[in-house]
Amino acid sequence: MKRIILIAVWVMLGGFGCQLPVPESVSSTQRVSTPFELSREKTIGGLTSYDDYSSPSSISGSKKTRYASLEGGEPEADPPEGEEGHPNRKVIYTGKFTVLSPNIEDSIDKLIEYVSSLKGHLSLRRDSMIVCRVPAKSFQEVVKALPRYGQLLKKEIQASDVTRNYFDLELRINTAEKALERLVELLKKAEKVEDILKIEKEIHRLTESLERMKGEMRHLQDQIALSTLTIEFRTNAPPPRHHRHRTQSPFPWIRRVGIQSLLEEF
Amino acid sequence: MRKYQIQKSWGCIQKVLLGVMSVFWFSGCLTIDPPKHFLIVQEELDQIKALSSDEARFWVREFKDANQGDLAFWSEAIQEEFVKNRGYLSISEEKIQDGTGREGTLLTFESTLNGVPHRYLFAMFVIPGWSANTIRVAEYLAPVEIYEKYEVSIEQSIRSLR
Repeated sequence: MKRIILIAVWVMLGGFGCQLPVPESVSSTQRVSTPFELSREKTIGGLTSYDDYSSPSSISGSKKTRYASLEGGEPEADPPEGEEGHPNRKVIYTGKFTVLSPNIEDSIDKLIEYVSSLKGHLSLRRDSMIVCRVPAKSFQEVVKALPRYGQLLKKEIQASDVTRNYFDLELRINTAEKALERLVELLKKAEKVEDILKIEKEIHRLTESLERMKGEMRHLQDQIALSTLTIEFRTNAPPPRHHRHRTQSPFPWIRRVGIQSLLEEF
Repeated sequence: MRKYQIQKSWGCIQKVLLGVMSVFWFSGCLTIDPPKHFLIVQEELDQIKALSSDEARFWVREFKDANQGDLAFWSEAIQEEFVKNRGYLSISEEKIQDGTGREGTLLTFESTLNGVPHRYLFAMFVIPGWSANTIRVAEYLAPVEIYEKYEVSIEQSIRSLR
């Protein structure tokens, strides 16, 4: 039973970056079942490029290597979406804009309506600033449409390539899941109460970190799927003045002159 | 002899009628020297529309005023409406004369359209009539940098208004 515990502890530590010497008493057939190596077999399809490292934290291969290895691996349950020509690339698009508009309220309302039509949504609205989330594929479309809502004063677009983080995290999740499965199996075989307690403690710790990683993954997936646009509206229209509440001039001919009629009826 | 007198009278009546018709016809017809660099895109008895190549707009038109308000009254009413009701920024107010020497008011305003500051000129003349006055209005609208380019020619054109 001590062997089982030792293997379990070694499995845990080995799976998260600590390099412990393999106990001499463990046979070579048992050693094959380290969690990371198992996950590697599944995820990357036994490619030699990953043979040199023994823990997920040591993954630091170049993009090229990683893409090659991922393409060579088994198909994933949820195939990654990305830019055209780079099916596996994971990019988070964010944009910050300043728009000059004579009528801020009207511009904001119209922009929100437009974003909704593209299956996006308003994430935050504070005074004359809004944060919108739009599907990544519609990001450029919205950027191009912004001048419709006023004069574009400032434009800042950022594309963060998170491919490495994404697949590292995915790999760590797979590894942790495998390790968890193995611990559960060990738990079934354990006989002593002391061993059971130790394994359960380890399962608890591993479950917590797995949930945390899954949360990170969900956040990352959300950031990739929906681009974030922060738009601050400004106005240079004359400041509002206090005046009597009136909607129309009482003189019909005066209602027919002015800037609006010159634009609409000309 | 009698026949000759009747013919002579009829000729006079014809001339008088023609004169009266001409007076009515020409009194209701706008004439103006179009501003330089503007193309007249529509010309009717009571309105003329002209555009520059960069889309500055110039529009002269007439309105009937059965209440027969005078120039001072309508100048105040326009200021009230544009500044207090529509929020235009008043830039200047001057007097101007048209091609017949009639005095009018020349007002300029500023407002922002689609984030771009625009300037708007409004000139007005009141022509007294028997049953109703005629209010003759000239409007010119352009973004500020374009406005200044044609300002002089627009004012010259308004001074030629008859």
